[in-house]
Amino acid sequence: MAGDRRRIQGPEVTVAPIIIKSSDKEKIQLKDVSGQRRDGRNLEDIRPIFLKTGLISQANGSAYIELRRTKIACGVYGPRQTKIPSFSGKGNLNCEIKFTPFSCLKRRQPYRDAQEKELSQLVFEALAPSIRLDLLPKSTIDIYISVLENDGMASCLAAAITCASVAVADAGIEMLDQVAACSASYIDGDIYMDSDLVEEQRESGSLVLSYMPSLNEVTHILQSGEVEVSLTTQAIEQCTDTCSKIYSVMNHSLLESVKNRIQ
Amino acid sequence: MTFQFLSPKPHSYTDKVDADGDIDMLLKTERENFETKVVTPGELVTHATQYMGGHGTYTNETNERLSSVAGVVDRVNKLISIRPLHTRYTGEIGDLVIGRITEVSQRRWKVDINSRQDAVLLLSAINLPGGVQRRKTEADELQMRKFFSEGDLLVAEVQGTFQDGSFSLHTRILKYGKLRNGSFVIVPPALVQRCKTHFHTLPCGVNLTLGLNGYIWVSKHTTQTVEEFAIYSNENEEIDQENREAIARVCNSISALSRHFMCINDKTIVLAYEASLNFPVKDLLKLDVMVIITNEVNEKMTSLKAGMRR
Repeated sequence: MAGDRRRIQGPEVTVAPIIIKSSDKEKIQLKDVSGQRRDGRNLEDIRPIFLKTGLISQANGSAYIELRRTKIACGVYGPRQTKIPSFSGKGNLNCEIKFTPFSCLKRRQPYRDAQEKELSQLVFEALAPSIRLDLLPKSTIDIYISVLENDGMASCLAAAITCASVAVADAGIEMLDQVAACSASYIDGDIYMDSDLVEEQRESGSLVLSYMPSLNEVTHILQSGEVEVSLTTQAIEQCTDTCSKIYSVMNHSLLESVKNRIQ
Repeated sequence: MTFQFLSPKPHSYTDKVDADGDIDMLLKTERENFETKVVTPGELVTHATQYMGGHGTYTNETNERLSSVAGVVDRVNKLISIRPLHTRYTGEIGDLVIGRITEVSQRRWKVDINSRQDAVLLLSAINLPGGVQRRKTEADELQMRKFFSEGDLLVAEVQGTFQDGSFSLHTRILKYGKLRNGSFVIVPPALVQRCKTHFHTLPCGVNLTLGLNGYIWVSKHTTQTVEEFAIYSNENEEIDQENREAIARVCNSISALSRHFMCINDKTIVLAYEASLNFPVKDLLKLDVMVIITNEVNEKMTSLKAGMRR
């Protein structure tokens, strides 16, 4: 049949996809009777953070963050001259997040895909309000984040924002405050802070909050899924509290690097 | 009623006088709030409104002064600024810098000097070969690549600044101009201090040019000045094995110093060079050897300082 080539030639009958409910996923108990999670932390606890600056020697600023199995490295280049000659009174911020092929459960393609683009945009939105781009006319700051191991997309995004903010501060770029970010998952009416991959697969929704603790300002909120308002407000409060804790870790690692140099 | 006029007395806080004879106007108790204080972005520097804010600070709605970079607090009387340790070069007029040409455009070169923007070197701000004094013509404009082409290294002086934070350079002194016969090292700009001269000849027979932007040029020692016609030559001269080794050793000593964030001037480089003589050149890039060298430099510097005090 010579039909219209511009129309999508689908099959004439549609078949509903077969959803295979994996039985073993249901078996995993996310928390025990006393409210402890599989790795022994409480619902409101986050994983221990390792954060260090100055790992990439050729970058102007860099940082590495590790939350158990989430591992992210970030390099900041600039402020340097914008290559495309168009005048702008403000500096440009260019964020790029990259998953290494071996970072996820499924092998990722080495080229940039839609999800990486989306996450890059989210990191940009979270960081841009904190950096004083008005002081850097005609300049560009490039932030390159590479995810070495990914244990849950929401917590990975939060860690990337935190890590990038420390790297920007390490580069000596003027900023209003550092941005700490933290994620939460809604699972069966509970809020699981900083959930890992197994918990994330069971979530009904998630929240990623980026927050500047010493200015007490939120730079970015990302919520997905179906949640009740009361649960969301509670999650936001918990996230801001946790961000303040993460902030102290960020401060500590920055001060360490400065003190190491001046001694 | 009798009045008594007292003679003016100096204030009690005039106990701190710096090298230039300037008197610190702050009370001792206030001063201690700032001495060797390390801050991170967003951290409160001071509540008091009497201070002026310098670079690296900003005020919030309640007029508190906050830091906007990670670094150490620098206070000159009432001016407070934060000095980040790891940052790009911000130049001042008269600074000697080393740069690399990134672009040749209309009557100017763009030079990478490790600052936020590429610096500009105008065609009118260079010396012509042979030292001819005349206006630059269109013929000169057409053969700009004969003077400097992309990738060339040069030493220049900051002539002025632009509003967007970029600099203009000039090379109108015979000491400035194209660099050759040597090797290039990059260190953090904070480590290089302003000195009377930035051209040094080390006792090991190596010429050293310390750019304030953290770019350093280590080259073969030449006694005779470059013939004026050869200042834009691209040809390297013959360098013998001994000189090559000395240049490489100085370069590696400098990178050892910069890795341990020690200040870089002719004195520390000579000390590092002397300390490095126990090792073959290629071993100088090993981390443990770097530690040994920098420790030795540290010891010698402290003993030198102690000797000067006596």
